[in-house]
Amino acid sequence: MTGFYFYARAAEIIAAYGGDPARWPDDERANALAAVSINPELRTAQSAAAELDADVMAWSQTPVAPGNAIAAATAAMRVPRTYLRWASGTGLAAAIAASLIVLAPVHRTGPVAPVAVAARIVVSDESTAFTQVFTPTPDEEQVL
Amino acid sequence: MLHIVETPATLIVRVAAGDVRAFTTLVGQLHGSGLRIATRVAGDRAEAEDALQGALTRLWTEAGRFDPAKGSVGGWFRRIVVNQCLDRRRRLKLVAPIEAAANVASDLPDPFASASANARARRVDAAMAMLGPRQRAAITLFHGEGASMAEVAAALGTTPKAVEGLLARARSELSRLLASDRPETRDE
Repeated sequence: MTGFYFYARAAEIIAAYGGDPARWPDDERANALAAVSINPELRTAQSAAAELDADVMAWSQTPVAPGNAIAAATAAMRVPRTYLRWASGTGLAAAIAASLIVLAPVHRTGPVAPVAVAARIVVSDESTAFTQVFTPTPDEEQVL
Repeated sequence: MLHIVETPATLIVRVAAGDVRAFTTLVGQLHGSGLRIATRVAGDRAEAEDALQGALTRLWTEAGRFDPAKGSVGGWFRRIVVNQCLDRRRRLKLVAPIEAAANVASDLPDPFASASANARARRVDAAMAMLGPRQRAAITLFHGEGASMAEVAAALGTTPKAVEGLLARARSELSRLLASDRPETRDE
């Protein structure tokens, strides 16, 4: 690997991975090190990257006060598995499908008895009975 | 006495079957690193604990979905933790101005002994808070946890090449923020 690409890729590696060659990609380390060894700008970039590495490492390794793992595990298990399964997308889809099956009109092969159905509608007055037959439009609401 | 080591890989199978003891043991193994990652990515202890709790709940309820062919339990859990943090950040949009770093109190016992290092750490902390949560997650996993580029990519649900770009932009932004926030220029 030679030329512009050789240096450009080494610069990319330093910018992303930092100044420590041990963290560079295994299959590109030798080429990148060779580029750094002959290019002063890359050496400067590697040195600056190493300084930033030190800051980043210090930040990312600042001790974090331990939490209570047992309490966290206990709290996590308070959520019933079945609840989450139903709350998930699959569960919701299953619930909708189930409700459609229950609410869907059953195809009857035998004779239909409309009088018997109408008889089951208990109405207090005429307007209530009307709303039970169909949902009125805004204009019809005005009339009602 | 024969001591059987319970690895995350064996524990997760039992957790999937509803084994409470296995879950408690597994949480004991993952809790520390999970809290560390969540604290760095969320930038706030309370937020981190909430995100971690959400991740543990998913670990308990979704253990059956773990696929060992796709990676380790630790890597899978890391991904859940990072996702919980990113989801919460999306909803909350927490922003800490870098100027606020000057007022952060030190919790070190002797502030004079490590004043310089502490001031630098506060500036880095404030600069980190200015980064995007995905950038912070990438830095946390790559530098803090020593994860490979492929592991960071798996945790963020993207490609190693994309993580390279993410890290490069994060580091560049961090350099810029730290350079523009030198104490000698601020105090003048």
